[in-house]
Amino acid sequence: MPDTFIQFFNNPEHIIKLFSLLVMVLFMVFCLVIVGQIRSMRRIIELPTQSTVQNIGILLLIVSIMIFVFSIVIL
Amino acid sequence: MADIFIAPEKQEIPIQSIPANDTVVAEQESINQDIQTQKANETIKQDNSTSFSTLKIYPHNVKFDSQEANEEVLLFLRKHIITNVPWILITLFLILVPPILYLFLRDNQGLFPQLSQINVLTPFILSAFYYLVVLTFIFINFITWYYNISLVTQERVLDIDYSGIVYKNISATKMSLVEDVSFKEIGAIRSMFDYGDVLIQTAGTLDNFDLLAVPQPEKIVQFIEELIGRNRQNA
Repeated sequence: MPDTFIQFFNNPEHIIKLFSLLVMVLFMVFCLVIVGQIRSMRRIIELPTQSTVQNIGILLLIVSIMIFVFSIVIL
Repeated sequence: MADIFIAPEKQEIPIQSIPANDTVVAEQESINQDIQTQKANETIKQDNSTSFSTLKIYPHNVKFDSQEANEEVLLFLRKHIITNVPWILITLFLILVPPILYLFLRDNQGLFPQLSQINVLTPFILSAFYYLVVLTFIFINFITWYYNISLVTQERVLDIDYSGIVYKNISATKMSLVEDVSFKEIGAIRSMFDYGDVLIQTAGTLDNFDLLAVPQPEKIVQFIEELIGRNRQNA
């Protein structure tokens, strides 16, 4: 097991791939925070077209998840 | 011994006169309010064309959580649309970076020979992720503008500051505590597009309110001053 681990990290390409996946995970968390903030703002104030703005945020989150899954398959 | 606890005789008040007076006062108030509304609508040119308007008088579809039953939003303010231009320009630049980079690398393949070893799909994934980040940049800037609003009701002034996703500050002050309202419109662009900062000074050690880059600041100051005057008359 440790040998496989070392072998994996000896390859720089693997490190780059792992790093990009980590960045994508962080980005997904960031999108989740944005959606959460919009929801909290909706509780404070009621504005027209607010649901559209929230839907755009959710769409962004879905697209980021899709790219993450796609990149796992490809990379 | 005289009885000092005898209640004085009550003077009979004609019952019909009270509702009659109230009705007259209410009618007068409603007439005054209508006139003031008409005046405000005439003086302030509001943008009702879209839901993303920067200035609205008597917006019927705007409500906030601490709003009282008889409290009505009289003025809805947001930063002028022109304040979005800097981040839109940055976005345009960011959108153009990958095609320029692609054209540069295609014409100078000799500079980076190791690039030919990269999987064909890797640039595709990376550029998709890049554009997603750009989209998020657009979205964050948009919601920062969208949620940075100020509201004026007949009783108070509310200022909602929202920036950097995790920062939000909601401050409010009663109209009776407002001491002075002023505005500044400095610069050629601000004069051209008629937007500026409205400063609402409150009494004592309370925080002042800065309504930044709002459209038609002069008219807004007039509107708030009228409200303060009306409140003082009522008090």
